[in-house]
Amino acid sequence: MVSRILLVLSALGFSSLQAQDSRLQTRLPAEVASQVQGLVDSAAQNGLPTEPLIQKALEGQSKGAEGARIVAAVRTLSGQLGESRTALGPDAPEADIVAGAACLKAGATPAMITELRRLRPEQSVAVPLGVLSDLVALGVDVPKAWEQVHSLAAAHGPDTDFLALRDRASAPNTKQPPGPVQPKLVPSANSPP
Amino acid sequence: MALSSGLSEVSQTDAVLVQRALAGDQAAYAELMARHRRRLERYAWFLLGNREDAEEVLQDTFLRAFRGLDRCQEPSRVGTWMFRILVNRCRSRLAKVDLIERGATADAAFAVAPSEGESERGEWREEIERALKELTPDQREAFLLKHVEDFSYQEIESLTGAPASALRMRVLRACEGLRRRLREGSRDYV
Amino acid sequence: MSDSEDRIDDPVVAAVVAELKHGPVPSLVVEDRVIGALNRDLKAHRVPSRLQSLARAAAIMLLVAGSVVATWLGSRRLVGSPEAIGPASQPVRFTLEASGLRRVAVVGDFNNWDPRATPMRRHGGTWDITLPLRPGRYRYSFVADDQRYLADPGRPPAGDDDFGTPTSVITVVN
Repeated sequence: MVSRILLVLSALGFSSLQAQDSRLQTRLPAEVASQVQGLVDSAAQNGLPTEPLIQKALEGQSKGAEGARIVAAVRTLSGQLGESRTALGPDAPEADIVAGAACLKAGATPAMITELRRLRPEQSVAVPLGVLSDLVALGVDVPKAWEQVHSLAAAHGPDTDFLALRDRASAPNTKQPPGPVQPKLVPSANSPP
Repeated sequence: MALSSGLSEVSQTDAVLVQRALAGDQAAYAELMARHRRRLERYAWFLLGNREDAEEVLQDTFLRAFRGLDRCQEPSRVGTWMFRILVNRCRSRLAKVDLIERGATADAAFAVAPSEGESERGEWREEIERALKELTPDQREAFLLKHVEDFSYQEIESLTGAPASALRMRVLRACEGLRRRLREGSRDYV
Repeated sequence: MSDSEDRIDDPVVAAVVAELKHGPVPSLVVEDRVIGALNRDLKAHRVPSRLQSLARAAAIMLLVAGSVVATWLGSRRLVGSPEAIGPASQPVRFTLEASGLRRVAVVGDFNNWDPRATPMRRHGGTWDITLPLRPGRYRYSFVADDQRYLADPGRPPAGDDDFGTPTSVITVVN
C-alpha cells in the first residue's frame, strides 16, 4: 500500500506530504489536536518517529483522558524518543528508538541503552530493550532486570532468548503489579509468538 | 479541557476548511473528506446492502463533491451537502438495480471474516441486515435517514423530495417490519 | 419537530439503531477508481486550474484515509486467511476468556486505539481475534462492553500507561 501511495504521489507531481494527521483532527478537540500536531511536527523536524506520538494521543482519547493529560503524555514521550535516539546514535532504526523510549520510562538509564547498542552493533536492539521494559513492568527491579538482559546480550543471545527470559519472568508464580478489579478471567493458554 | 461539542463550532470549522480548500489548501480538503467519509460509507452500505453498489455510489459522490465544491452554498454544512449528493446517487442506483436479486451475493460480500462459528454479535448483525433488505427501498431510506443519520423530517423532505407525511409513514412501516422480522427470528438478541 | 418523533419506544428497533450507528462498517475501497478519474480529468484539462491542486489533495486524502481504514479492513479480512497476510506480517491471536460480557474489542497501537475497529468474536466463554502484525512492539488493551479497559492476562503488562488503565504489550518478531 505504501509503495502504491508513493507511486501515485510521484505521478501527481507531489514530492512531499505535509498535512495534518486526519486522525488527530477527527478524534481530538481542536485545541488538543493542534497542540499534539505541533509536537508531532517538531518530532518530525528532528527526525524522530512520529507514529508513536499519534498513537499515544489516540490512546488517551480512546480512554477518555483530559486534553491536558493527553498533551502532557505526548510531550513526555517525545522527549523520551529524543533521549533514546541520543543514547542509540543518529542512525538508530525507528523500532530501536521507540523501544528505548519505553525503557527510559520504565526507569532504565541512557547508559544502559548505549551499552546494549555497543553489544549488538549490527543487530536491532528493539527486542532486548522491550524485554528490559517488560521485566520491570512484571515487578523485577531495574538493576536485576538490567543484569539479566545485559548478560544475555553479552552472550550474543538471539531475540527469541530474550523473549524466553521474559516469559519465564511472567510465569504464574511471578509477582505482578496489581490491577483494577476485572471480571472473572481465566489465564489464556495462548503464548506469544 | 472541554470537548467542543457545539454544532456551530463544528460547522464553522467545516466552513473554514471549505474556504481553505477552495483557496488551494490541500490539507484542508483532505481533512474535510476524511471527516465525513465514515458517515457516507455507513449510509451507502446499509441502504444498498452490497459492496459493489456502495462503492460505486461512494466513488461517484466523492468525484461529484470534489468537482462541485465551489457550488456548495453553505460551507458550514458541507457534510449535509455531500450527504445530499450521496442520497441522490443512491436513489439513482436503486432505480437501476433490483437489489433483492443481489441479496444472496450481498450476504457473502459482507462476510469480511470467514465464519468459524460466528459470535452472537455477528449473527445479530446479519439478522439486522437481512431484515433491512426486506424493507422496501423507500422504507429503508427513510428509516436510515431518520434514526441512524438523525435528520429531521424537514431535512429528509429536502433530501428526498418526499413529503414529510409520507416519510413518517415509511419510517413507521420500517420499524414495524424490523420489529416483526427480528422478533420472529430470535428472542435471544434483545 | 417533537421529541416523540425522535424517540424509539420499541427495544428491538432501538437495538437495531444502536448497532447501525455504533457497530463496525466495512470500509469501501474506492480510492483507485477515484484517483483514476481525477487523473483523467487532469490530463483532459477538465478540471479548472484552481482545482488542480485539489485533485492532488483528494488523491492524498483518499490514500491517507485508505491507509488508515485499510488497517481496520485488514484486521477484518485477514481473520483465518493466512494467504492474505503480507510478507512481513505475522498472525497474532488475541484471546480473552470472560463471561458476562456482551461485546469485547481489542484496541492498541495497531488500530489507532479505536474500539469500533476490531471487535472480537465470541465462542462460548472465549473471545478471540487474529490480526496480522508486522514485527514490532505493540501496546494494547481489551475493551469490555465499550466501557472497561482490561489487560490481557496472557501477556505481560505494559508498565508505561499514562492514563491509569490496564494495558498489555506484545512483541512480534520475524
